[in-house]
Amino acid sequence: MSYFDSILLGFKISLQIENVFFCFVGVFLGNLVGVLPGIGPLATISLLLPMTFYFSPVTAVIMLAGIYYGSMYGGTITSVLVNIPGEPGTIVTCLDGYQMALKGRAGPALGIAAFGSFIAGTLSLFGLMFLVVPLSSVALRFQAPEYSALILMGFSILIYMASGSKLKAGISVLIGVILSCGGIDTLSGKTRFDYGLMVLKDGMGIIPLAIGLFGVSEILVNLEESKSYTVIKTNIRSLLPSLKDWSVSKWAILRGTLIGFLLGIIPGGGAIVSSFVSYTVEKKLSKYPERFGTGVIEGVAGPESANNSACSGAFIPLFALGIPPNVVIALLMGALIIHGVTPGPLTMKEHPEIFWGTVASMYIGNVMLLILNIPLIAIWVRILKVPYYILFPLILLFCLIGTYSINNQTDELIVMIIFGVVGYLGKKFDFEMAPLILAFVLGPIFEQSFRQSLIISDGNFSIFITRPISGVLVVVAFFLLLGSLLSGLKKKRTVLAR
Amino acid sequence: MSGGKKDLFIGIFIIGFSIFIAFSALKLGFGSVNLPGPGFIPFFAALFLLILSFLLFFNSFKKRIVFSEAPKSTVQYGKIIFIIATLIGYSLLLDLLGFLFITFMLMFVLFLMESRKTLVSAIMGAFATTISVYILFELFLGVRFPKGVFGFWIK
Repeated sequence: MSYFDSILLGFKISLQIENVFFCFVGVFLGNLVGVLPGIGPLATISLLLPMTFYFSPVTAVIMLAGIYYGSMYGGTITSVLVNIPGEPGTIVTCLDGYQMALKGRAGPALGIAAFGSFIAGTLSLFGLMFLVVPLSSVALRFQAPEYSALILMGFSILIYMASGSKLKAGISVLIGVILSCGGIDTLSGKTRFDYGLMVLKDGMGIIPLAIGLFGVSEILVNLEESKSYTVIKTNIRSLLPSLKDWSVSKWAILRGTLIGFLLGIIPGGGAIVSSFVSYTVEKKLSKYPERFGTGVIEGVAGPESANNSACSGAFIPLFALGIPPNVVIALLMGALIIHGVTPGPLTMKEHPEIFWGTVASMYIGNVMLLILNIPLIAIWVRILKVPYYILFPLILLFCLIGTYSINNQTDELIVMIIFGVVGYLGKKFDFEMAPLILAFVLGPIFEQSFRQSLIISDGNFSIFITRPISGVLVVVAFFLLLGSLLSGLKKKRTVLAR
Repeated sequence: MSGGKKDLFIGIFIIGFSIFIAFSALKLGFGSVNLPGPGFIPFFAALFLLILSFLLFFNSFKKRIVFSEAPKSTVQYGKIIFIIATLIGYSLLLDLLGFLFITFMLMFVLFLMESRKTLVSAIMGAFATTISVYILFELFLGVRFPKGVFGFWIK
């Protein structure tokens, strides 16, 4: 099938009434949770995952992907108007966006963020379309050793890119791998780590785990202190940036798009890292770097484009290699697996409607977001004022129903609550939960391919080094782990010296 | 709790967890290098986890030397424990008391807990939420909720 035919197929699928509706639901919810600081796309996707069982796989992915990129648009509104990032990917927007709002330029800040996100979202989709096909044909040459080496490299990147302690990120990864080993072993047929409990017979479910770690724990953290938000009073006359704004922002948008797209592909990269990198690049290239942080429009345009572009880039490793680069994509992968579709290099051949349908829906979703964002800004601002004491009981109820509806088992609610507590304690003890859930999703693929590689090579570990692709991946993984170790030691020495 | 103390406690906990997993994995069957068994990967994962948790444990002593005591936390742990206990209670009583009754009770307690509103508004909020959620999930999406002892009047 040619590219043109594939794109046509994608639009044919994404323009079906059911898919247009759920794309709208996804981007609307994404925008909504992006606006609300107490809940993010991760918790929302976890909550809605069980509901997607009633949909076709392509409809499920269209809706969940909509939540993902939609939240980036919504997060900007709180960053600009409240100085609180609705999403971690919009943290950096607070720096100049809020300052612009204080100077009465909230409209152009929100406008350039929306247009920049739209341009970045659209351009990065071209990259996604043209990169996935050649990459997946390379990935078809992957066998067990390459897969285990690739996932090993993914784990190393997760540790290397961790924002906090690398040691704790490593611990999270290993706990994720151990948790993924529960249930029936595919190679021997033996049941593992069930401890006589029915709920653990098939292994730990991703939904109670994800809802607990990201939904329940988030509420517990938010309930620790009563938060109130002050939305600045500004007269948003026009959201359209001026010609001068466009002229200074155009290159920032294009650079942000490229940075976001490339960093989105890397495991552990994604929206947060790319928005920070884009901001740093814009500041370095600027003729007036000292004015950054005082309300410079490039400081909004670049990072906002980067975080949206990163969302598209993140789909490349999922569809080309079957490897999720971040935790939201890991949940999307979980949704597809539940529907009997294992994402990977064969997805393009076996389920072209899923890939092309999702890509085409993202074009449509970006247009919807642009329309939703600009005229509805007053409604989003009003939603910001919904008190948390109304929101949190509803979110908790959705957590409970979402988990219960998978298998109608109350035992799974207990698993969810336990992981809610684990997630809460993780935050208290400065552990990141994203590496844990990513390792949980990748763990079974890693275990199976690692054991198969050892069986093929008759127990010879050199199989991972002598094969060119896996050899390169293992070396990269080794250097990343070495880098993590050295940066950890350097940090400790600096602290001790102080 | 200071960073050092936190790491000390969590380090000890993870050491215990990794030893427990390593022994469970050995019981499952380690296999051999040329034919790895079901306990192979969990064993090595637990072994690496043990090493990292020992590092965390020892690092915590250095942190304690460097930093003084952290300021006292003002977190209301009572509220957190109450929410967790309420959720556990909900999970245990869902089958017995049925979705409608127990969800109404949960919503009533949660609305009353934070908002400090009147009993009437909490009851009305809980009632409206329970009915809306029931209509959406049970009637539209086909989720089968338990009816419980109070469900004799539901078809």
